[in-house]
Amino acid sequence: MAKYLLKRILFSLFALIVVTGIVMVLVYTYTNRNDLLKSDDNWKKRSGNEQKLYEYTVFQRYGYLEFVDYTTFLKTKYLETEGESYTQNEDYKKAKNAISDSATFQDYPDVAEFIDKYYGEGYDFVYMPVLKYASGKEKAGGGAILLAVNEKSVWNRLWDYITGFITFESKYDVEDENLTDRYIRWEDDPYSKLPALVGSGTKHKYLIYFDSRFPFIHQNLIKINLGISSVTYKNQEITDVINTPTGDMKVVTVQYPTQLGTDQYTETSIDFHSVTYNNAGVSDSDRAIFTDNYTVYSYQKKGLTMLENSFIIGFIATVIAYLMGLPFGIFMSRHKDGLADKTGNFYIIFMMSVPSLAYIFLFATIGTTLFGFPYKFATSTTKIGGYILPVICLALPGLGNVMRWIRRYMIDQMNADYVKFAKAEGLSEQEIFSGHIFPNAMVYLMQGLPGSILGCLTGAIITERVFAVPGVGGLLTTAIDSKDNGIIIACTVFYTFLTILSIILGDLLLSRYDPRVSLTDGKGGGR
Amino acid sequence: MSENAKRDVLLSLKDVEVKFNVRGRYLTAIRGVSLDIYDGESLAIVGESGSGKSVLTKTFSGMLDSNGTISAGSITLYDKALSDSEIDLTNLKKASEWQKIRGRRIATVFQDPMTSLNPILTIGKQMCMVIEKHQRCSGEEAKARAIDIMRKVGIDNPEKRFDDYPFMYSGGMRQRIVIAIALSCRPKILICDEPTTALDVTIQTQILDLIKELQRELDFTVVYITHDLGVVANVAERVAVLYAGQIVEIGTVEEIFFDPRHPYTWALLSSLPQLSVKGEDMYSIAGTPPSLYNKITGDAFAPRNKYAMAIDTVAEPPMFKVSETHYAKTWLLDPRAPKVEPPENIRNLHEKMLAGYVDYSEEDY
Ligand SMILES: Nc1ncnc2c1ncn2[C@@H]1O[C@H](COP(=O)(O)OP(=O)(O)OP(=O)(O)O)[C@@H](O)[C@H]1O
Ligand SMILES: [Mg+2]
Repeated sequence: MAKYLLKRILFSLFALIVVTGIVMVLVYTYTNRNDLLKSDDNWKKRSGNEQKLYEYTVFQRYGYLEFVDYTTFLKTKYLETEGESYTQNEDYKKAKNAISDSATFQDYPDVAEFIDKYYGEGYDFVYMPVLKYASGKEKAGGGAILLAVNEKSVWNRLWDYITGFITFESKYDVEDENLTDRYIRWEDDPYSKLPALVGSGTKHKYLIYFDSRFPFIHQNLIKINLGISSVTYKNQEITDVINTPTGDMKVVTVQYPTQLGTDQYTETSIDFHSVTYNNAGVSDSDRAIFTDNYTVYSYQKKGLTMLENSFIIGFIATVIAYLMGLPFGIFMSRHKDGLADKTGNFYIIFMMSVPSLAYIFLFATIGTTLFGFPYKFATSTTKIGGYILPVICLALPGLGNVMRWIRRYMIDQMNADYVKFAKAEGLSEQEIFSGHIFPNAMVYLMQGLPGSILGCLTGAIITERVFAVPGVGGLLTTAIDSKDNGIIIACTVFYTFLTILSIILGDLLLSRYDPRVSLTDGKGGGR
Repeated sequence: MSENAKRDVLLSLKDVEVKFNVRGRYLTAIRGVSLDIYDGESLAIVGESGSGKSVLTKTFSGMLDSNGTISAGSITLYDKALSDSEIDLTNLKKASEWQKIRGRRIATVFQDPMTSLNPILTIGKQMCMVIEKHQRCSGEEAKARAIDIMRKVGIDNPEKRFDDYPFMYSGGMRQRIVIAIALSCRPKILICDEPTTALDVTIQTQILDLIKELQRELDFTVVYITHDLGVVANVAERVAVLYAGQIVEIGTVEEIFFDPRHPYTWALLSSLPQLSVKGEDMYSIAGTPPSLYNKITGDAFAPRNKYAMAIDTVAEPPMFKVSETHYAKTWLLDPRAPKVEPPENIRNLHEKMLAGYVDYSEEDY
């Protein structure tokens, strides 16, 4: 069985890569990237070469290409040698103007250096000469521009994506010559009073640590890079987005690292476990708080993460749906065509035929007016209050679904020959239902169970939107709307992964439960 | 068979009529059947598909579908082991009353062993469920009994196979298990509804031999339902021929095979595969049985009967007595009827059958 599973997992990985590749091809080649500009006011405002340059900025943001502007190249170069006042430098000015002369610019030493450098890295070059009116006056936005452009091919992109999918932090991650003491070691964490794995030279300071948030132990050592948002969550890795707590700031009384060892305390929302290395130079205000260069922090929030919000709502709804749906559906099948069955069927058909938006608003209205449940998630005064209506709105259709299938499978099994035989041998209806029919009907539900639970990780689009739940449900649709290619790919990979995992877990569960199914190659049971 | 007279009557059906409600219309599947079943005998019920063989046995196994009722007649089960030594089965209404009969007094083996067992429970579990239900015992004791009966039905290594699942058994093995479960509570009557139709020929004979053997050892009554007259000749002592919900002829196996009186029985016998000549089409009975939705006047077989007389379309024939054990429901037995000989091909059936049956079991077709 282990061998079979290994094979399945390898095959799944392959499938995952294929799906990712296909989506990348679709997203990057079959959508017209010029559409991105049409509704962009910043693009409309610009003209001439400047407008062209802006286009490259946009395409870079959406991940179509990478480019380096000659001016930026000069800036880095002269900043290093001349310091902040490099713009006053004569060499710099000359180098900057060198590209205005379309005949000779290639011979200028700085330009040659620029071209050499990026040619070696496989870039192409785009040169836009000065745009002038017939009178010789320069047009608006018509200044000369030289760019090194790297159009990414799908294969490059896929390769980069796969090889960069999982990254580990190491003590050599930070590029800072002044940082000489590099280590990763266990230390006592002054905030949790428990041990923590602390790094110096790593991006995060705290690599493994404890705190009061579920699941109480956290890590920054290994990172899954699903994709980077280019629009909605500017340049954030999507796994960070969905795993960062939401809601209002949580103020706690703690000691700043500079206050440790004294009896001074401060009220703050800073999450000291979140700090990352500051490469840009530590400001004086940060110096008052921190003792080292790990000064980039995020805040503690009162709410859960987007992923947790979605999962909790979905999971509770699923549990309710099964706990109630199974007995209801079984009861309906045992009293087929009776009053309970008819009522149940009406409910099932109602849930199936009424559009979800309609019944969500119906339940929302009933819930808020009759029971006084809080409507919008964020405005709920109690912690669990905000979950009530979303859970109900997800549980009720789920309930209908479970009732529908278990009833159907039970009725299918009721006509099976082994049921007739069991009856002919004198077993009571109760014994036949619980001993024979129900276990066989469950065979069919069993396989889908992991899928229903893992599916909660994808969130519920409409419910979350109606109740303004900060969850992951709307992620993909918003991303498609805003052409946020990074998120589209991230979501596809994540959903595909969940589906594949659900199927494997479903099969595993089934093979535990149904003796006819064995997870080995070739000859299984006699199904 | 003359000994029948000495045997006790175990089950007695009197003028039983069964109607099915099919979307408001009534289908009369059994039309006034009277039949005595004797203790320890083996009775075969034969007839073409739809003649009511299964429905007839379901009246006393309590397995009638919910849209069917016994609309007339009585069915009495005589059993000295019962507290009130006779029970009218038509009066059993409650499910719990039937549970005392089913499995414990009357058990049924169905046609398809592949689907008669619950696929996801072990053989042992399924046997113990029935044993624990009917015999006040549990756990190890039930297991011991189950293993004992598994050995009886010819399962090698029953201790080991006890925890196997049905899919690990072959078709023949499964049918042995089904028989084992059916017999695990020592029923007085075992109904075998086409027990071997789904099995291949060699396994068929093995299963039939097994039932015969067990019957000798455990002393129960067997009611076989079959289309296969070859099977009948092999296992039954008495034969009842059913046509359109009525018994048209009943007698010992010798009487039915060698002295048949009803034209329908003649037709059935003519269609025996053993009698077909190589290269010729198999004999089949022309026409179709009457619709059971309508009231049938006269002899139900008349429209298909080439010996039919005027009276057949007017009045239903009574059961004419041929011998103490042999009765037939045809006007041909009326003293006023012209003398009709059975068709040529079924005379001397004895020799043909003997030869045929041997071929039949050895040839694998
Ligand atoms: N539940 C039911 N509802 C309606 N009609 C039924 C029902 N069960 C049986 N019948 C009818 O009763 C008649 C006798 O059926 P039965 O099953 O006894 O036939 P059979 O002789 O066993 O045939 P086969 O050899 O095909 O099993 C058939 O016409 C059948 O259509
Ligand atoms: Mg039948």
